[in-house]
Amino acid sequence: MSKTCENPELLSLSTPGEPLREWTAEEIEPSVMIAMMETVMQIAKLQPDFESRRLARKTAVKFRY
Amino acid sequence: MPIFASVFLALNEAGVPFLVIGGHAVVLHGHLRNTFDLDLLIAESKLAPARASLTKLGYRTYFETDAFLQLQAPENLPPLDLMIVDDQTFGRIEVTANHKILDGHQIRIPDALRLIALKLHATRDPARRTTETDWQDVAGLIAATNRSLEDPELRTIMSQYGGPRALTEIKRRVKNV
Repeated sequence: MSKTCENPELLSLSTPGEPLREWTAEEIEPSVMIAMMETVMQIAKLQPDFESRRLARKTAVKFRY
Repeated sequence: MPIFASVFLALNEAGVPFLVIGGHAVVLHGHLRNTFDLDLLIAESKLAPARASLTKLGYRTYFETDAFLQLQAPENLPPLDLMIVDDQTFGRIEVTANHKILDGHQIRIPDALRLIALKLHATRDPARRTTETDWQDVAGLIAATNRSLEDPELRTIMSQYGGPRALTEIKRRVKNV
């Protein structure tokens, strides 16, 4: 048996056609995003090649300003 | 679950000034994206006390050059990188830094223009495997801080740190962020 929602506002989630970044920027506060990143970080670092992948993104040239 | 507080406290207790850079700084400026590590900017004269305090927390060196120190994290602490700059550079970035709250602690991040300079610098490293995230960050920072591409200071930074193709690369992405 299916249920219907009486408040259509509750169903106004993004659709797959909307860009994910736009949806994220509109719906998620930076502090919530950072909490999500912390969780992702803890899971991602369990990957066996995690450190070598990180190293590939590093810049070896010293920054001067 | 806050995981950065121990790092911030350890560096503060060791008397190591730092700025949060990388993905967290980008997010705190309002351009939301994911990241897998915590990046901190420190002055090279503070590298020894920084390393000592982080070693006490259980961090181990994975790789280092004179430009960065990549640290392998113990359980419950974030993957961490220290970007090392000369003291004069640190001072020049620090002076215009913005104060933010991260994990309940007041931290500092470079202002948008200095963060853009750091990102543009990264795009010019031929050894870097991909620069798309850096370009997206630059475009995102410009959009999130409502900065005009005609801003003279931004133009100077784009030219100085991003090189001749920077403006084209940024224009192409600004409308898509």
